[in-house]
Amino acid sequence: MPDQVEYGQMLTDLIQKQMVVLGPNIALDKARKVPGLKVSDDGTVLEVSGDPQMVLKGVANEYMQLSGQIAQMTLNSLLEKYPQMKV
Amino acid sequence: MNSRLGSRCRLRVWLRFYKTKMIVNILLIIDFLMLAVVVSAYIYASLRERKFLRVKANQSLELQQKVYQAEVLKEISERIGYSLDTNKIVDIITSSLGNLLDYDAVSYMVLEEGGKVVFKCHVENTVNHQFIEDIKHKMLMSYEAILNSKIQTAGMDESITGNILNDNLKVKVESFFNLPVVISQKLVGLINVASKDRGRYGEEQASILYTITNQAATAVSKLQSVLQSEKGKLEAVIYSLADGVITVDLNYQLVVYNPVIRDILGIASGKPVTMYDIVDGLAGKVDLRTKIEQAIAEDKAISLPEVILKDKALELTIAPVKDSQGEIIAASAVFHDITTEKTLDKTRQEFTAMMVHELRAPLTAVRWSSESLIKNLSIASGVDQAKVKDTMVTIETASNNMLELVNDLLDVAKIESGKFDLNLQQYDIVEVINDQAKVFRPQAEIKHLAINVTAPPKYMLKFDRVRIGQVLGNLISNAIKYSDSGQIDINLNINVEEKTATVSVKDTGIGVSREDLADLFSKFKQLKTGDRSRKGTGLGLVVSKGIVEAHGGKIWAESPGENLGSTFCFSLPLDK
Repeated sequence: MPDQVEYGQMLTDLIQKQMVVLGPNIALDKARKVPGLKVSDDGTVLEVSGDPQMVLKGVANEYMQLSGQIAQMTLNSLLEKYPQMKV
Repeated sequence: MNSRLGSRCRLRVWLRFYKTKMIVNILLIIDFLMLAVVVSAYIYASLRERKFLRVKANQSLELQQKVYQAEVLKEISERIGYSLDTNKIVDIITSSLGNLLDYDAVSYMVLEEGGKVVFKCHVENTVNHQFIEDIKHKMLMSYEAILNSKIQTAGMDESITGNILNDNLKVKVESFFNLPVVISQKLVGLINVASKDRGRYGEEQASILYTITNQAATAVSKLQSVLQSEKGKLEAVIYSLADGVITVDLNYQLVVYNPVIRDILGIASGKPVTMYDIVDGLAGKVDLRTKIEQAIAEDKAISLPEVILKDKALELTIAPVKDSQGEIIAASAVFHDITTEKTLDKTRQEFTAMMVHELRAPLTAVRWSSESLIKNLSIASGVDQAKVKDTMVTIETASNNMLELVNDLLDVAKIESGKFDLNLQQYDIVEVINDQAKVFRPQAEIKHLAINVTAPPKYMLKFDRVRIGQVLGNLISNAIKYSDSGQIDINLNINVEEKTATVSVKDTGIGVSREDLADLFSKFKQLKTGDRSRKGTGLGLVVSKGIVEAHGGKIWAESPGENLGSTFCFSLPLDK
C-alpha cells in the first residue's frame, strides 16, 4: 500500500511530465483544479489532503479530458515506475 | 369641579392624541414593512434577473464558442477532405487553430515512419532564431516524453514561414502549450503555440483548442478507419484472385499486389515485393513501364494475349484506375496464367491430329482394297478368288478398326455427358474373366505369351457383363500389345472387409514410367512409345475408366518402371 509521500512523488512526476508534454501553464491549471492538491509553479506537489488515491485519479482524469491517449501513454510509463499504484 | 373636568378633558385629549400617535406609528411600521417587502422583492427580482441574464450571457458565450468551434472544425474537415496524409492533416489543423488565439509562432512537428523529423513553424510576429530553437527543443522534449524514447534529430526537415526573424530582438518563449494530434490511437504530430508574453495561455483557452484538435483527429480517425476497412475489403478481394494483380500509382510506385504475383513471376517469398522485382521478372519480355504509360496516356486497357515467361504463358492486361470523378489515379496490371489452357489446346490439337491419322490409315486401306477389288472384278475372266478374299478381309478389318474407334469416341462422349447406361445384373465375374482370356489366347500365342487366370471357381457379382467384358478385353489387349515375351497373369481378389472385388492384369511388357502413370486414363494422352506398331488412341483406357467408375469402382495402373512390366487393376464394389 503506497503512503502519502509516494503518492506525492508520483503526482509530482505526473504533473511535471505533463508540463513537458502539454506546457507548464495548462498542466498546472489542470492539476490545481483538483480539490485537495497544492502544487508549486515547478510542478512539485506541496500538499495532498484527503484520499490521495482520489486526488491521483482526479489529476489523471483532468489530463485525460484534454488528450486521453497521450495522458494514458504518459501514465503507463509512470505506472511502470510505481507498480504499486493504481489509477 | 372645574379642575376635575379640565383634567378629565386633558386626559381624554391626551388619550386621543396617544391613540392617534399609536395608529400613526402602526401605520408607519406597516408602511415600512411594506416598503421593506417591496424593496426586498425588487432586490430579489433584480438579482434573479441579473442571474438569469448572466446565465443567458454565459449560454450565449458558450453557444458562440460552440458555433465558432464548429466553424473551425468544418473548415478543418473541408480542407482535410479524404486525405490520409498525416503531415497534411497536422498542417491543416495547425493553420486553422492559429485563428483562434493570439500567438507569436505556431509550429508542428511530425515524426515520419522512417524516423525523420519534420518541423514547420509559422512566425506571426517577429521573433529571433533562439525563440524558434526554444520551440523546437520544447516540442522534442514533449515528443520524447510521450514516446518515452530519444528522437534522432539528424537530417530534420525544417521550414520557417511568415515574418522575418530578428536576432537583435531580445525575446524568449514565455508562454506556450503543445497539442498532441492522435489519429487512430497513434501520435501523428505535435502542434505548438508560443508567445513572448508571460502567462498567455491558460487552461480555458487551451482547452478549446484541445477540443477542436481532438474532434478533428477523431473525425480523421473515423475516416481512416472507414478507408482502411474499404481498403481491407478490396485487398481481400485482390488477395483471393487466382490471377496475379498489381496496382501502381502515377509515380510508378507499387501500391497493391497479391501473393499470386510471386508465383507467376518467380519472386522469392520472405520480403515485400518491389516494383524492381516485377520489372525484373518481366525483363526482356515486356516493358511494363511503357505499357502502363501507354494505358494511362490512351486512357484504355492494353492487352498482351501471350507473354511467354520461362515455363509459363501469361495473358497480361494493363488498365488505368480511375476515381469516382473519372480522374486516373493509378494503373493496374492483371497477369492471367494461361499455361494450362495453352497446354490443353496443344494436347487437343495433337489428339485431333492423331485421330485423323488413326481414321485415315484404315480408310486408305479400304480405298486401296476397294480399288484393287474393282480392278480385279473388271477383269471378268481372270478373277483371282484368293486375292479377292484377302482384299475383302482387309476391308473388313479396316472397317472394324474404324468402327471400334468410332465406338470408343461415342462411349467417351456418353461418359462425359453422363448418359452412360449400365445393364446391371448378377453375373459370375470368373466366367467373364475366363471368356475374355479365351478370346485373347490365340492373339497372345502369336507373340508366345501365356495368359494365366487365378480366381475362385465362381463369384457372383452385380455388374454389366458386356461393359466389364469390354474393360477386361481392353486391359488384356493392351497387355498383349505392349509385351513381347513372358506371360499375362489375370488375378481376381475378393476383399470382404473392404467389400471389393479386384481384377488385376499383370504383364511383363515395356512398363510405364512414373510420369506417364498419371496420364494413362486421360482423354488426350496416350502411352509415349517410339514404336508405331504399339501406338493407339488411348481411348480404350478412358472408356474403361468411365465404365468402372459408372459401377462405383476404381481403376488404376502400377509399374515399377520402364521395361519392368505393368499391372492394370480395377475394383468393383461387392454390394452394388
